[in-house]
Amino acid sequence: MKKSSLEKLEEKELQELALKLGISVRKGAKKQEIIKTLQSAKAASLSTPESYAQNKPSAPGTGRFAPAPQHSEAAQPAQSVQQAVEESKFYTGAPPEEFRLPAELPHHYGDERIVLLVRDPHWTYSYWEVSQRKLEIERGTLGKAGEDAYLALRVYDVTDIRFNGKNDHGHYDIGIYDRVGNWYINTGMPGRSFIVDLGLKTQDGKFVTLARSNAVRTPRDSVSDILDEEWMVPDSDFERIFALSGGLSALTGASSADIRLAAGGKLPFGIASPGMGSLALMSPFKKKQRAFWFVLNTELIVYGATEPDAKVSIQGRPIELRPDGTFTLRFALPDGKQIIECSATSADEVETRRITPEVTRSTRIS
Amino acid sequence: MEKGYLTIVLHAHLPFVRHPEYNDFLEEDWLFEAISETYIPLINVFDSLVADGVDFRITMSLTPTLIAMLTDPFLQERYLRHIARLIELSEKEVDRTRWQPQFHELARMYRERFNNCKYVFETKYGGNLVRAFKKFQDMGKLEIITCAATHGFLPLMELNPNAVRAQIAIAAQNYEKHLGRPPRGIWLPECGYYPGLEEILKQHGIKFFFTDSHGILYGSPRPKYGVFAPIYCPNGVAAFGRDLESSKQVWSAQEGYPGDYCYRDFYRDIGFDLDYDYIRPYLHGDGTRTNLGMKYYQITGPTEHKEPYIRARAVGKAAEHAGNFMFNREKQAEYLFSIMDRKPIIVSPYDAELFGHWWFEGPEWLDFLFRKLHFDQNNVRPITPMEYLDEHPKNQKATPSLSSWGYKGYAEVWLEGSNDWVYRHLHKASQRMVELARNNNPGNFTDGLALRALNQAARELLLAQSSDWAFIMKTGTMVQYAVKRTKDHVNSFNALYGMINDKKIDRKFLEDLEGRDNIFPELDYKVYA
Repeated sequence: MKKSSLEKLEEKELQELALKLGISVRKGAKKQEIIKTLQSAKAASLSTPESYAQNKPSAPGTGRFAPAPQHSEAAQPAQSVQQAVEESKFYTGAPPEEFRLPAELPHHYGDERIVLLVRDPHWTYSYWEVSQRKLEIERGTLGKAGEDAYLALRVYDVTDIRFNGKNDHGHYDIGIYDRVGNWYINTGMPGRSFIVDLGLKTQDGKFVTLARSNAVRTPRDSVSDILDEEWMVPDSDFERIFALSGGLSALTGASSADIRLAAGGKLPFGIASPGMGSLALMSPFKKKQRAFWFVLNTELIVYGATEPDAKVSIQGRPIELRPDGTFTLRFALPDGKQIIECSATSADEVETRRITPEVTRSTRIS
Repeated sequence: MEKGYLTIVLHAHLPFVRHPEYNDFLEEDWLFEAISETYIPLINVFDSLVADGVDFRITMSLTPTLIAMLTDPFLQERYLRHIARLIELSEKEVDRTRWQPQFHELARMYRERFNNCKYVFETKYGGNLVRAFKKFQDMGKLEIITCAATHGFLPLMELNPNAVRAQIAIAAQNYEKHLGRPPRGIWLPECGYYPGLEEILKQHGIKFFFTDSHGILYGSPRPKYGVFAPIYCPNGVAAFGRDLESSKQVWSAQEGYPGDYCYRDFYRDIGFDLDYDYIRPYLHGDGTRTNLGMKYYQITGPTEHKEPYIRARAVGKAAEHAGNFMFNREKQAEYLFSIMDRKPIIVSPYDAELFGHWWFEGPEWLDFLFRKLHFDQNNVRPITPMEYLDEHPKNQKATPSLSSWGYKGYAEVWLEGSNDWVYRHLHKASQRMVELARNNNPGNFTDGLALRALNQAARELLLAQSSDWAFIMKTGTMVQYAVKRTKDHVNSFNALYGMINDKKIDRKFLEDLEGRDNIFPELDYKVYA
């Protein structure tokens, strides 16, 4: 791994990378130390820092027919309460545990394969692998041009067609580095179908396919233009129902929902519907502690011993003795005076002893 | 006569966590806390509604992983051990707080609750809470729906239809085994739907599912009634859409009920507040402070300083919030009824663990809500999806849009920088499992070992597919555990795959896996063929 490429990553990203690679890094290690650890680790890497850095969805959109991303990745920290509730199921209060991590999963499986998955209306995700052997053979068949040919993804728009490798509505290429890797592709086109080829591209633009992906269709991000004649309702009514679907408040508060609907039939809450909202207050995981704090409580321990079969009570309530006749009680001790009447009575109820300590707590805070 | 319907959906789910190889295991607390704080309180609410003649309707998923854990004798034993410790601790707390009346009252409340948990769990339902839920289903109050076998996020599995089919088929089989009839509805994991999924649902007798609002609204052709009526997929399976307005009242961080200042604070727990030596016996083996489930403070406000929790006030607030929720549903139904030519259905789905675990007063809120709906009004009628479809069999035909209820509404929660690496392995294992199922026939086996290895391989694949692991990797709570689970199951699968192909099964290895990952004993690997 090149040090320079590691230097470009943030400390947190480096930690993630280490985790991803199964390399253990000392807790609290600083950036340079993590880089050192990463460099010296011999572990087989799942992905190189290069591809890791470029794989981040925030990488600039590379699509030729892709408009700028529709939603800002900077909005990420906002979470829904719903997600916090789901998180809370897994929250025990304990700090993350250290496990001896199991053996690494295979780096690759010896296939010639590329897979495409839909992330949302604007992004798809692809992972692939192609063998060194296949790569060499294809380079060879390209002759001289094969020597400096590079790996590339070719993204085809294949909406509503049976793709034969040539009849796409359009395509564009993304240069990649690794024969085993992954990439987020910003197609920027909701409601369209895509296929991606992994191939070798020569400097003069020739493209040879090594593997072809499955076809996927990105979801629509607005209401359908297709109206069922039989069920048709006047548009104004639909808009009102639609606005209500986005929340009664959106309708009664202002007609903003209707405006937005007219502007493209999108939900009034960005892409998704879950209730959005910052969770700074409610999430345990981002909870900010004050820099300095001090808590103090007092407790009082009352302990003693008597005959194991005696009856002991404290402030009128009977308590249980240990088999050896001893007992221990602890009390949260608030400010004020506590009169602690303790009594022990012999099993035959002939003898009773009383001991009554008085305890006063008064607290000054300065 | 009612003007509309209300369908409350509770999604009860936890991933399969069971570690007999350890004396105690932190992550098993997920289940124990959910039992004490959510499942038993819900059962108590249902029991009291029935006792008081309240005709309620709740639709509730019990995921196959949750059913597997609730019916597992080993975990039942461990729960009893867990609750016995809490009872002991709460008794000490009752003594310790004697001079602090506010805390003393709370300590007594916890002692009573924990004793009630033990009673309901052990005495009333014989250790098997699935029986309790089944009881309410048999009464017609509860519609229990299933979920994918291990809560795999199906849109990212579409590539391998056999893997999706196995998730559904095994779920349906598991449901029938424990609930005595086939499931009629399903909660898709994370509400994740992709067009075409309904084919597999139909093959397994599923009649309805739910999507998030945009799943219906962006459906095609455009659904006439938005989310206020179900649509039929072209093959006749019904899809119900989530209502945003009612969701927001509960989920919104700003306006949502659970954030009310007088409700109990989730984070202040005696596991952190009290003297270490005192609570040490109740912590896990390594002695790390964790939540113990006794919490004495109210949310109070956006401050570090917390006031003691006042139970009566919080319960009063839950009643007030239930009244507010009902009022809003009435207004919503009335208005919708005036502009639609049929009665609207308002579908409000929530994580079941919201009620009681996160929102301590949630079960009381549900209790008040159904009482008020029953006694105080006639505008909104609680209904289950099946009842609705029986009354309104004619619905618009349309295909929902790919969607989930995760952040941003699609697959991003489960497909991003922290967790995208899992799919290469999950997809490969799915492909290999199909290959194993097709190439191996029980007739060819010389001993039972190969058959067992094939079934166990399927279990390992299924367990690796839980969307919970990707979710945890993203949200950063117990990342190492989620990574470990994913790798363990994929590694185990790959090892079994190799052994089966080499016709050399390591008996010890197989038996270890069978002992630990004992989910779905009824499973038949041929489901992948």
